[in-house]
Amino acid sequence: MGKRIAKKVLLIGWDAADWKVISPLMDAGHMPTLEKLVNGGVMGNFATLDPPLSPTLWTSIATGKRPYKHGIIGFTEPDPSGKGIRPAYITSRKVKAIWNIFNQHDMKSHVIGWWPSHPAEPINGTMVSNLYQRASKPLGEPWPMLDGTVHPAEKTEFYKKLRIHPGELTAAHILPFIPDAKNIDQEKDKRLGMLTKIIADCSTIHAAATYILENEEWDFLGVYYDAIDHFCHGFMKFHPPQMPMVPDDIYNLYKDVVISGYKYHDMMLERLLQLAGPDVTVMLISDHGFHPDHLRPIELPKEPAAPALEHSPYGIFVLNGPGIKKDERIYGASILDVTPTILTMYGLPIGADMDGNVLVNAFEEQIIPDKIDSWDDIPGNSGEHPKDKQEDPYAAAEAMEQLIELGYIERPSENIEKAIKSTVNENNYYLARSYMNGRKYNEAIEILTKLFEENPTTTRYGMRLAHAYQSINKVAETRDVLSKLKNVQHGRESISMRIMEGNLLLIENRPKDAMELFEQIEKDMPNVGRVNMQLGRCYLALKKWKKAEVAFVKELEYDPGNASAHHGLGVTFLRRKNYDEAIDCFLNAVGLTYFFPFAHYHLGEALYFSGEYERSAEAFEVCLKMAPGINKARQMLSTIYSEHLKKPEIAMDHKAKIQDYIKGDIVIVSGLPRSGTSMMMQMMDKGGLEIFTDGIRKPDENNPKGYYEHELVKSLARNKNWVKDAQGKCVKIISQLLFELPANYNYKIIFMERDLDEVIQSQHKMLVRDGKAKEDALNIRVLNVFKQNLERVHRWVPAQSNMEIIFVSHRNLVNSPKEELQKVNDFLGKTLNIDDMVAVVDKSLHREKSNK
Amino acid sequence: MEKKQGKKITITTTDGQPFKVPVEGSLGLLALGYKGLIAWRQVRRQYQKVREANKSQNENTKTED
Repeated sequence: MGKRIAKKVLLIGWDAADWKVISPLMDAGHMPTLEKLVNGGVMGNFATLDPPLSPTLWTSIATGKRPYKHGIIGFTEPDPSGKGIRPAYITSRKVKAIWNIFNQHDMKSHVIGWWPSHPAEPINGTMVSNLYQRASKPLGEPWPMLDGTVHPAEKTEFYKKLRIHPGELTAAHILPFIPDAKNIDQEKDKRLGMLTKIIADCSTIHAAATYILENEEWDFLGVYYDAIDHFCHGFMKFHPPQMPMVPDDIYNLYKDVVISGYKYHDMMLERLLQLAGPDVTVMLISDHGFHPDHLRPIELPKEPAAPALEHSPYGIFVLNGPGIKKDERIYGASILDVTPTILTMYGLPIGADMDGNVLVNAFEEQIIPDKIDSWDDIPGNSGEHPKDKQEDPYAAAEAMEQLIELGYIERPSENIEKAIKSTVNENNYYLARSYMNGRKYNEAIEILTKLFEENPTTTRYGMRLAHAYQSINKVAETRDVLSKLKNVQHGRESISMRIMEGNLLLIENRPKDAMELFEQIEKDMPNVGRVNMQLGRCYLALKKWKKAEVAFVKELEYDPGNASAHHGLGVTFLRRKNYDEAIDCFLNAVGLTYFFPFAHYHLGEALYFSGEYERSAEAFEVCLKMAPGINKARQMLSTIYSEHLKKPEIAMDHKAKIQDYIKGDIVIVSGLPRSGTSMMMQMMDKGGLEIFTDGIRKPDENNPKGYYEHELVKSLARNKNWVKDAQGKCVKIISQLLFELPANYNYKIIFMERDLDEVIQSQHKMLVRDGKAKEDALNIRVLNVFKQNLERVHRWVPAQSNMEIIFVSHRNLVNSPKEELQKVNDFLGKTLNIDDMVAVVDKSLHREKSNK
Repeated sequence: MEKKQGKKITITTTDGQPFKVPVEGSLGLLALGYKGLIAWRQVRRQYQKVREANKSQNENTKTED
């Protein structure tokens, strides 16, 4: 066991709580308890997962794992009995929750209202399930409770009495939310009933939690309040500022509901903290946020789980207690980090199969978390349901279908069957999204392909499939799906489809075409087609820095929380050498989305050029932690540690690690234009190497035997996607572009050196032949630039641990090719056919000769 | 803040003064948790009892008249 810094942990869940609402309330003194908790601990944004569906998210919170691992993938699931559908049950969870791990350590846990937690698990403590609080009948009528709602079952009668019926509430409870409630025509407007339900339900949960805190022994207590989410779904559209489609009278009636809901939660929080005591560690979290501003959607599509579109991607988290830093902000936290962090605070190891991280920056002391492979492999009484009670509702639905097909069971009524089928489809759709969120695109594609084939008119399945293909740069496959979607929509192209086409053009390195398309979309749909981000990317690719800046600024005016826009804006500053502005932008980007390796990389670059080497190294280290394959960061670190921080051992470590992330080998023929690179390419071809060329540039008078080029190479500075296709081949790259080569390949570079006067003469003759220069106007100003470039190659290339270089004299190659090519052959591993290569030399083509 | 007196729960303010639980309840009582809820229900029941007793007394008086 590691060092235990938490005696007891109180984990409080506020579904959908959002700093954008909370911060102004705290500033105005309306949430004093939360403010105190924040000031005495650490706080930050909590990145959510996609899809942002509460049962899946709260299970990820309790397990540290993504939905495709834990098995809760939707709001509902097929009832394994085949009788229909039911809310997601805890028995469908495939892995241990944190309280099961505590159970194995004889710790006492209580869990109230967690979603999903029905039927209650037999843990060492109390579990009150998420189906506890809902009143289904009018006040006065029997209010039964489902079997399995409370563990231990003998406490069922007691907890029944703590339930509050909405009908019990009076004006005293309602007026703080709706001061003019008396003016509501309840026959027409059912919102008052909705409000009383929400208040009663969360007060019920609160009553149970306070009882346990005051009357039971405990090590861990997890309590989940869903009311903020419900207040928001019901009333956020009436929250100030008034939305254009909301009439004044309705706005005035309901504008205080959301704010009052938050204030009520602050009151409940005060009581929880009072009962928990002073030396308890408190973690207050939400699973996602809820847009309270201009990002509120005006209309929701008619599809299952559409209300989730109102959610914002950032929830809240606050951590306060012994050993926790005070009044600090923590960046980059995710809902997946809750379980690993709490386990560490108890001195328990985390599972290597958990997707989250320990929020080590929250601790006053440096703590290195212990790890085991998986808690699911550790035997012992975990307080889970017995294996025979644990279910896979999807497997059960399939098995049921098989039994029906075989004639053993009667087919359920058409409606039930339809409901089951549509639930399975929707949940598979969510599962695919979860895979995509975890960057497992192939798994997502498999599910979405089947879904789209079976349901070709459900366009969101097709769009998501296209997104999955696009995410892994499969352009042809994406276009195929888009074309099928277009057919389904009778030739109509939705705005999302047009935007995706633009993204494909960007992938294909056609930024100009993409830019024209996005500009057209913006023109066609000025209010709907929000394409600032896409335009910004096009302008970046085209090095139109100012235009890119304008596009990203526009996006940030609309959504200041867009981390990618901050990043894009930072790149525009970085490329124009405005390092301070660039640093600010990158810090904003990683402040919003910490898991953003390229923002850390560019931050490192901007800091490096500002001369802040230590901070630069830190940024590159973070980048590598997130994306160990970014070898360029490793090269930067190697340079910083060797040349600036004078730590050669660390520099060597980084240099050595570069080889671990190499994807393959590429042979490069390089040099200044007209230095004999085409001749060398021809030799490579004859010698037996496979050439990376598209054959577009045809032989001409300047190069009668061909250029051996590939159009994509020219775009290396902005597009490196093609490099993987050059793996194992030989490619011609002019010397100016060598510095743009991605660092995750090994390069063997054959660098052609030719007398610079000859090079300039030859280039000039070529320009004259092409009609681009006059015979007598030799441009010798380029001489210095070429010299500098060659010096840089001589200095820079040998310092790169993934590059080897051989310098080949053009003159020697022409005059004594065999000898020169022998050296090249040795350099490449002696696989070339030298005789065939030598035959390439045609001295008559050595037309520009200097006297040197 | 609150004391148990047998089964009856009484609520006191932070300075130790007894808090008169309003019969219509309050959000503050619900925020207090199960004790606030029980105290409110007790007062509400007591109030209903008294009201019913008064009602029947009034009806008896009317009958006697």
